[in-house]
Amino acid sequence: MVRVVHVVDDQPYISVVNATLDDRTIVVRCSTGSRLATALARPDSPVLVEADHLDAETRTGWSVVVRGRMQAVLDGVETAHLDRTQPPSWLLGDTGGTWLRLTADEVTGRRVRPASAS
Amino acid sequence: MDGQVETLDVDTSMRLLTDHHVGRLALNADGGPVVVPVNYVFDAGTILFRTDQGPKLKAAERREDAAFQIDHFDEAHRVGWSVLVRGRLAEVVDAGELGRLDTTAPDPFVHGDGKQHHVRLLPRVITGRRILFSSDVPAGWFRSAVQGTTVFSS
Repeated sequence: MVRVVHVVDDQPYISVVNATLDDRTIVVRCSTGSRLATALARPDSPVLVEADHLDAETRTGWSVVVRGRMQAVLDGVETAHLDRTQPPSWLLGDTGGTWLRLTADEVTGRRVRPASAS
Repeated sequence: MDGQVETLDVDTSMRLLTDHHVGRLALNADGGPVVVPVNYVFDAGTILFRTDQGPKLKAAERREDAAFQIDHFDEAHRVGWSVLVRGRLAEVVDAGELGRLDTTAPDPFVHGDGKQHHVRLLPRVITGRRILFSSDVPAGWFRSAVQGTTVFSS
């Protein structure tokens, strides 16, 4: 479970998606033709993928942000490979949808902890 | 069976915003989008947080658009929800209001010397949704997916 951040007409959006790893790239399965799939796959549009775990009680946690660009996976051999090897999507189950792959330009991570412990 | 997405009504979305205090803020900064975790309170119908000098304050001074998101996923019960707030940032500058906020505003998630500025995200749109997982998804696989991220350090 990760969040993708993208920008449409200068407006940022945050969406929750299922993302998994395929050979050190991040792949996401979206409903085919959905607004999100269309927006994410725009070649000129930078996308962030964010994962975190933040504990409000202890004020500890971590967050990782991957910056890159997403492309729809169109090659049949590649989509068959992803269908076969990736776990089911929480929304789409085992099959269907459009695969998107993030080519990462930058990966940053940070750990959050109380000031007294740093 | 495929999973389902249900729309949450705005009252439910606002109750979830009231009950939680950690979310993520996304900005469209000069160098492209950024996203950061923030500690917040849902105060007077706005997302209120503290910040210091940096992209968040800069965006607030320019009254730029931003997005804020909270979510929670329950792997055991195969359900989850998310709430997205889209609107415009504004720094709180009114002296009377600042006096009140110094005693009520949340401590920043990351403690630091600064974080003296109070910023509100004034919502334009609040949308929430509830997600029921597809029956193809084995309970608990998301946790294993997170553990699998060690592949990045190999």
